[in-house]
Amino acid sequence: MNSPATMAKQLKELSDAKLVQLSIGNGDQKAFGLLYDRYGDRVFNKCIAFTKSELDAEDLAHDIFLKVFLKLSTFNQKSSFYTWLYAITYNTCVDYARKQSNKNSQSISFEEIDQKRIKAYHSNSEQHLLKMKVDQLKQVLTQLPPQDKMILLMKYQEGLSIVELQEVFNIGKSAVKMRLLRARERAVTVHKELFN
Amino acid sequence: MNTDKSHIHQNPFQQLAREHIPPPKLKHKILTSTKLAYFMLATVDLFSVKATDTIFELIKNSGSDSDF
Repeated sequence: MNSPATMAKQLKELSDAKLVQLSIGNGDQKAFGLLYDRYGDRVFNKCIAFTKSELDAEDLAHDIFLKVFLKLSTFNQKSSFYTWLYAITYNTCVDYARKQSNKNSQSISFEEIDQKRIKAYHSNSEQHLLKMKVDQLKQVLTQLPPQDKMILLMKYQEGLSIVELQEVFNIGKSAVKMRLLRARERAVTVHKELFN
Repeated sequence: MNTDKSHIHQNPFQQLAREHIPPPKLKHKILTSTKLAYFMLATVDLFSVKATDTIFELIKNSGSDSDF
């Protein structure tokens, strides 16, 4: 018979899909806790980008994991667990941002950003984006529409591929590339607006 | 995760991710809620969207993170 330590070690080595099965089958809190251990930091970091305080980010992350648990039985295992989790994270964060935008006005309108983006040079936006200082990037992210913010975080923080981004955002390949390009260009435009 | 992270090494997005770590109490709060959710789901004995939405709202609005 395996010791509790051996069983815990075996549980840690299970795939995401197996942990999902255990979580659904008997509500295994250890299995779901391990899924949280694997992805909690990443989800929390996305929430931080959409909220103004760590407390709000905790509430948002709590809501995301509760939704994930309640929807586990609908996870069809065709996609990977993490792209499915990120899709729920994306939808929950965007909903949160929409509710907040009704309460607060933005300092720069999205239309204004687009006008400036259209006028802007098609320089290497990725290079510009990845050379930003962290403090500057933080301020730029606060000015971007929620969809732009999330696709940039998924691409450059999580390193998701175009195919994985298609799964998260439920859009086609060319739409992902276009959304990514526009998000980068808006970010660069805002950066130049704020810091040049 | 089978993703190519070579192009995001040390980029500002990655540095930003390291600035915030969720507090340990968050995991406890989530697992308390999911435990409650599991028992509620078992009670209604179905996984319909309507039931899960209702349970989500009930737990979210309860604001309780105590053990039960």
